[in-house]
Order: sequence, then structure tokens, then C-alpha cells
Amino acid sequence: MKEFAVEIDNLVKEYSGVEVLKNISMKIPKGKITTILGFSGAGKSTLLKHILGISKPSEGLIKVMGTDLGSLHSKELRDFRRNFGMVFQYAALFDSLSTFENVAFPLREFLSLGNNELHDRVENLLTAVGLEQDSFNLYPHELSGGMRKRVGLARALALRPKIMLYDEPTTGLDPITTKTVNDLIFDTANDQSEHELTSIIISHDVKASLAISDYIAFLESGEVIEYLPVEEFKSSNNSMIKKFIELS
Amino acid sequence: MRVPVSILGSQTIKTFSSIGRMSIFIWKFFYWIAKPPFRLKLVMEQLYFIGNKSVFIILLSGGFTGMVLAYQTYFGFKLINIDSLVGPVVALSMARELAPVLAGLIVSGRAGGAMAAQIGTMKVTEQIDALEVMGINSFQYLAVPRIIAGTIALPLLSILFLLIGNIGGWIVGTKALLIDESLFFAKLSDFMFMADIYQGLIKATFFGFFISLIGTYFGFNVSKGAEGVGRGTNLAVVWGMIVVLISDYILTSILVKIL
Amino acid sequence: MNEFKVGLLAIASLVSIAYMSLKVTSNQSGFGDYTKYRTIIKDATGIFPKTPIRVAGINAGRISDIELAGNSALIKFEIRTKVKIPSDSFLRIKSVGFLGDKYIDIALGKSNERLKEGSLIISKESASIERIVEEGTELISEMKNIVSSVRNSLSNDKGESSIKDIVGDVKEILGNTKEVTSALKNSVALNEERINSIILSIEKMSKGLEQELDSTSDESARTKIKNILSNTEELSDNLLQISRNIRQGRGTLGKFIAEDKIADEVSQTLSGVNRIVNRLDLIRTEVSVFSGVNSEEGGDSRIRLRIYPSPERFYLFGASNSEFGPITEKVTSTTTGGNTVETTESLREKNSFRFDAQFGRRVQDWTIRGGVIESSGGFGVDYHPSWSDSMFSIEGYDYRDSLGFNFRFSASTQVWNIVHARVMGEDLLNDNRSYSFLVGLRFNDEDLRGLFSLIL
Repeated sequence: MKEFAVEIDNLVKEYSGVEVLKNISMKIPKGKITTILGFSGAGKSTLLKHILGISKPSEGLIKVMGTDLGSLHSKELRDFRRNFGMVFQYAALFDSLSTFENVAFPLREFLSLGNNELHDRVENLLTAVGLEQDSFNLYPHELSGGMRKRVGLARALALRPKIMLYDEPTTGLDPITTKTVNDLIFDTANDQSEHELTSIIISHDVKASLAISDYIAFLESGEVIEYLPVEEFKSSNNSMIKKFIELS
Repeated sequence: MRVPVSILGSQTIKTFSSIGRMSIFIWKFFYWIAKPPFRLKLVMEQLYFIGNKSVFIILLSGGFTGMVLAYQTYFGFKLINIDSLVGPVVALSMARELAPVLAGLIVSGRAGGAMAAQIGTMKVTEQIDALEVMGINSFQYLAVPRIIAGTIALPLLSILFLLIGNIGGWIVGTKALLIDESLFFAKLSDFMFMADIYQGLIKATFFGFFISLIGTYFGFNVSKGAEGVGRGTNLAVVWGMIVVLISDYILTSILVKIL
Repeated sequence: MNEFKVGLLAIASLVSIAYMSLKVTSNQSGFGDYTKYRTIIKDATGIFPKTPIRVAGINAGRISDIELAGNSALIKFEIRTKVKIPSDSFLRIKSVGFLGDKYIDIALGKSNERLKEGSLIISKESASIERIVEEGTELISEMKNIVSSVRNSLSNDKGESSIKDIVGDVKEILGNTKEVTSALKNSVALNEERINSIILSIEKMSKGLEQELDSTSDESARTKIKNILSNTEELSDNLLQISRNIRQGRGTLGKFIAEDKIADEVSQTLSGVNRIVNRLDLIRTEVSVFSGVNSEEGGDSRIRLRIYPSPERFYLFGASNSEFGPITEKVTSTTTGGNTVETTESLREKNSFRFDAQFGRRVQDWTIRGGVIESSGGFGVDYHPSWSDSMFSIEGYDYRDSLGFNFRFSASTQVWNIVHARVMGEDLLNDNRSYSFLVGLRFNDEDLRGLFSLIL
């Protein structure tokens, strides 16, 4: 079943007696951009954590690239996570490290590269996301929100992951930066298309999602209401979705 | 009748859960310390942070403690003409109790609190999640080096505290209180033995371990938001001090029998 | 850069501790050569392995060993080789100040010869505090003796009064002498007449005294006194007689007081009674009576009495009666035509009356016992947790060839006051298990007392 990057079967997650995720089943295809859309509190972040293996399901199965996450124990799971790259909502940069060091971090951790090679790779990653040399030595608190997101993206791409995850990439950004980020995501997905990079986006920004996604899943109160290719989604008859699209 | 009982019940459960969590934390430390990668560089960084950066305040506190101790003991001793014992008394009390305990309290405040704040902030800004997503064991990366560094740093600091305390005592004793210079430490070897210094060092090692264990524990367990980090820091400092004082008593009673 | 600074910190600490150790062990430091010597002293009180050894007041060595040699203490020590000990040196235990710690002081001699290694340095007794106190005490007790003997000699009336008299007489004599000499002085010109009249009055006085002292005259004081004395003598004689009689056991009172045998017997009886009463007090008893039903159908009642003559030992007596008893084996051998066949039957005894007679020991919350259980040999272990009035027991008894031991487990717990409930399982290791549930009473003498107080 290698066509799917992520397969979720009957996932149920219960938290303190409340069912946060109710029987979710979906198959996320490889090499495409899939957005999981939904209101705040719909369970998107929780779903993301399950895909990463950070949370364990109360019931159900999650397979990533054919591997059942539940069958891995912690060390294997940790190693497996190198297949992912994640961009957090607020970038989650290490605030004690400079921009350069942040991006270099995964490279230093997992690869033994010579100093020059390391330097070149980091530089390439940073320029690819549109950052200039003069920002390399700045610290996260000296960067703007948009710049931080870019650094986060560069860091996430450092190890050439197979699946990229984006947690609310455009939320809270001004329209221009939103477009920049969106374009970045799009370009990244397509640049890496020879490696079949799968992109999974969690968002409640409908407009941005509709602009770049191939597939959209609509999550509401822990349930998947719709999971369709983007064109079909746009013409969905579901009242909630229609309203969502209207208000965007 | 029901409400107090249920409060008692939930409190008991909470207490036991906390104890359980702390025990798991301690277990994790001993488990992960033996597993590669061994992050020596991080340990060094933490040693610098906990050790070197505390030197100034340690020297200051140590010096003044020694001076005050010499001053206070002098007056009582002079009454029964044993003022020649001021030197040994200062040295003994510093070596066995004051150096490890005071250095421990200082470091708990400084380093213990800082550890909790650092790690706590990383938790609320998802940096710990970022580490985990990258496939790095956040516990091994953050907690283990700090705990190792704390355990090593405190005895070193305690020695410095002791040294400067004796120097301070000597200055006050000979210059201000005019005790004969050659007499000040003359009796020292009669009253003090290496065992006393070792006692203090062993205590300091335990204190260092506890303080950094507590600091990192509360850092990992902060609740959300700035308030959570603030609370966690506060708890780390307070509990660090409490544990230092309580374990001081326990260790003293064990060590006097062994040494 | 940071690593360098950390290294500095570590080195600074290590240097500090090395320096401080030197200061601390200055009289015990191992540097330099040492020469070994020995000494023997009578009393090693206050001498420890860390006691300093001083020569002329300066630390010169350390003790290596303190041993017992016969009735004295052998101390092995070493002195820095730099310090030369002449062969006529000797050793004293001194203390720092009046009440201070002891140390060993070596007083160097004048000889040119150096004392050889390993030899004995003679120790001399020095005026230690103990010695002074000892002698002082002796002195004080001697003084006490003197004082008390002086007091004794002064305390019987004769002695005291005689001294008093002597003193009084001396006083008088002195007074008289004074008078006489002054009188004489004055009466240089005294006429004869005067002197004569003085002599006459003296004569008269002595005559009068003589008369009074005359025992033959009835009027004399002496006779009077004699009479009084003889009366007193008679009275005292009588009293003496009476007391003699009593002592010799004459008369009833005398008999009672005087008969040693009777007195002895009475006191013996009393002490014997005392002992019994004490013993009885110590004996503790425990009684349990249970009645219930068995899973294999049938009733079950049992009674047990434990007597503790001492807190750790006890004797146990009991009887039980159940409609369905434990399984026993009966072996019947039948001989048919030369072949002896042994058949083993397993029977459950019905309506049997069985006895227990065991003795056992108590160890804290556990008791171990053995003897006759249910009319067969066995042993048992009980556990009485101190925090509740429950009891758990395991017993093994009645060994049967094919079934082995009958293992019985029972647990009883307090329901209310002396009412207990108990569950039992028998033959637990075999297929022939049976279970019982019983209710009954368990109490000891304290409980009885408590019960009485409830009722009364």
C-alpha cells in the first residue's frame, strides 16, 4: 500500500473521558498537499500528534509509509520521526541558538558533515526560504514572525524528510506574508516532487488552503465531515463547509 | 462531610501521582545517563552555567559567612578564655555544615530556578515538541546534562565557599579581633580531620544532584503559559531548598556514624 | 572557551581542597621518616589513635596502635626521625590544662646515645588529675577517721564531761591562782589571825565533806545516794529478768517472739504464696469457640484453649466435633490364597470427636506449634497481625500414604468485640478439598475483664 503516505484506520482518542477524535479513517496520498481544515478545537492538533506518534490512540491504527506506528517502541519511533519535518505554528526555534545554528542543529545531530559541507547546506536551506546572510547570526527574538517561520521551514527541511507537516502555517499573518508562506509551501512541495514530498497542512485558513491544496479534509468535533480533492470540496453541498467557504 | 473527604481523596491521589512522577523522573535519569549519545559538550556548558557563573556569589557569601561566624563566636569564647578556638570552630562548622548547605541554597535559587525556567519556557513554546519531532530525546538532551553538571558543580563550589570562608574568618579574627595570627589555625589540626571535609563534600554532591533533579523536573512539568513557567520556577527553587535542608539532616545523621 | 573556564573552576577547587587538607592534617601528615617505639602504661583512658605525641610540647609523632598487654596498655607509636630520642628519655601522659585532653609527652634525657628503633620508652606516672583526686580522697577519708574518733572519744559522757571538768578545773585553778596571788600580794601585811581564820574555814569545809562522804552515817549524802542507787539496781534487775524470760521463750509472748522456727515458717509461707500469686498473674489464657458449616455438608464445632505460662511459650488444648471430618486412609490387607492385597480406602470420618494437644512458641506476631492436631500428629503456624484482631493459620497434620499431609488454612477476623468469623479450607493440596465457614467467640482474660466491665 505504498501509494499512501499516511493511513488512519478507525482512530479514536479519548482524553479524560471525552472523545476528542471519533473514529477517524482517512488515507493521505503521497506526493500531494493535503490540508486538514477545521475550526479551533476540532481536534486538528491532536490528529497531527497521532500522525507523528507523539500521542497514542485509544483505539485504531495509524500507518505511516506502511509502518504501523503502534508497533514501534520509543527508540524506533524516534528514529522513524526523521522521516518527518515539522513547522510549528510559532516556529518553535531554539531561542538560545542563532538562525544558522537552529538550521544546523538537526544536521549536527544526525549527520557527521565536515564544517564546510555543513555551512554550505545550511546556507542553501536558508536562501531557499528567502533569508539573507545578514540574518544568519540573529537570534529568534530578533526576527519577525514571518522570518521565524522561514527559519522553521529551513530547519524542518534540513534532513530531507519524506513528509512535511505544517501546523497553522498562515494563521495570524498579514496577507502578504500569508501569500509568501503559502508560496513557499507550494514551491517546497513541488521542488521536492522528484522525491515525492508529501505535505500535510493543519489550518483554519480556508482561502490559503483552497489555493494550494490537492486534497482537503474537513474536521469538526473530532469527526471527518468531508475528505475530497480540492475541486470537489469547493463545490460541496455540506452546509457547514459552504458557510466556511463563504466566510473566507 | 462529603466535600472534605473528597478533597482529602483527591489530594491524596495528587500527592501520590506527584511522587510517582518524580520517581519515574529519577528512574529515567539513571536509565538515560548510560545510553549514548553522551553529550559531553552540553554537560560542559551546564557546568559553566551552574559552576562558573555562581562563583562570584559563592565567594561573596562564603567570605561574609566566615567573617560573621568568626565575629560571633569570638565574643562568647572570649568570656571563658578559649578565643584561640575561633579558627577551628569556624573551619569545622563551615566544612561540615555551612559550606555545603549555604552553597546548596544559593545554587538552588540560582541554577535550580533557572533550569526550571529554561526548560519550562521551552515546553510552552513547543521547543521540546520540536526536539521530539526531530527524533531527539528531550529528556536526555535537556535534563541529563544539567543533572550531571549540578552534581559535579556543587561540591566544587562548596570547596570554594569553605576556602573563602576560612580566609574571611582569618581576616576578621586576626585583624579586627586581634587574635594572635600564629594561633588562629594552630589548633586546627587538633580538632578537625579530613573526615569533616569529606562529610561536607559528600553532602554537597547529594545536594547538587537533588537541586538539579528538582529544577529539571519542574521545568518539564510546567502548566501552560507564562504563569505556568513562573509557578514552576518558584516550585523548583522552594523545593530545592526544602530538600537541601531535610537531606542535610538525614545525611548528617548517617555520615557521622560512618565517618 | 567555556570549557577552559570550567577547567579553571575545577582546578581551583582541587587546589583549595589540597591546601586545606594539609592544614588539617599537619600533625598527622605522613611526610618524612618515622622511627617506631613502644611504651607500656597502666591506664590508657583518654588515649586515642589521634592523641598527639609531643616532645617538649611540640607535635613530634603519632600513635600507630593501642593494644592490651596483660593488665596494661601497650602503645606503639612513631616519632619523626628528625627528633632524636636519647636512651634515658621517659614518657608521661599529660593533659592540656586542668581538664583538657590527654597527650603523650616525651621528656628527653641527657644521654648521647640514641634510643634504638623498636625499644621501649619507660613511662612514669605523672600527677594527673585522677591521681590528685585519688590522693585527696584518701586524705579526706583519713581526716574523716580522725575526726570521728575524736568525736567518739568526746561523745561518751564520761569523756566529754571529764574534759569539761578538766577545763572547768583549769579555769578555776587559774582563777584561784589569780586570786591567791593577788590576795597574797595584798595580804603581805596580813596578820596571822586572818590566815588562821582562813585555814580554819578550810578545815571546817574539809571536815564537812568528810562527813558527807562517810558511808556509815545515815545522814550523809553518800549514803543517800547509795540508797537510791541500790533501789535503781533492783528495778533494773527485774526488768532484766523479764526480758531474759521473753528471749528464752518463756510465757506465750516469749514463745511467739522467741521461736525462730515459727517465724521462719510464716515468712516462708508468705513468700511462697507471693510467688504463686505472681505466677498466676503472669499466666495468660486464650479461649476460642467456633461453630459453623462445612462445604461437604455437615456442621463443625471446635473449642480451643491456649495457656501461656510465659509470654513466648504456650500449651494448646482443644476438641472438635464435626459431622464431616477430614479424610483419613484405611489400609486393609486381605489375604486370599497366599496373596496379600493391601487396599487403601479413603474415608471421610463422620461425626468424629477429635482432640488437640500441642505446645508452641510465640515469636512476635507469629506462633509455631506442634503436637496432636485433630487426634493426629501435625504442626501449625499462625499469624496474628498486631493491627487487627485477626488470625491466619496454616496447619499440616494427619499424614496419609496416598494423600500426603492434610493442609488446612484458616483465617478468622473480628466482627464485633469478642465475636469472630472464620473461614477454613481443608485438604487444600488434594482434590478432596472442603471449606467451612464458622462463627464463634475468641477471647482472652483481658477481654473477659472488659466484658465484665461492660456488664457491670
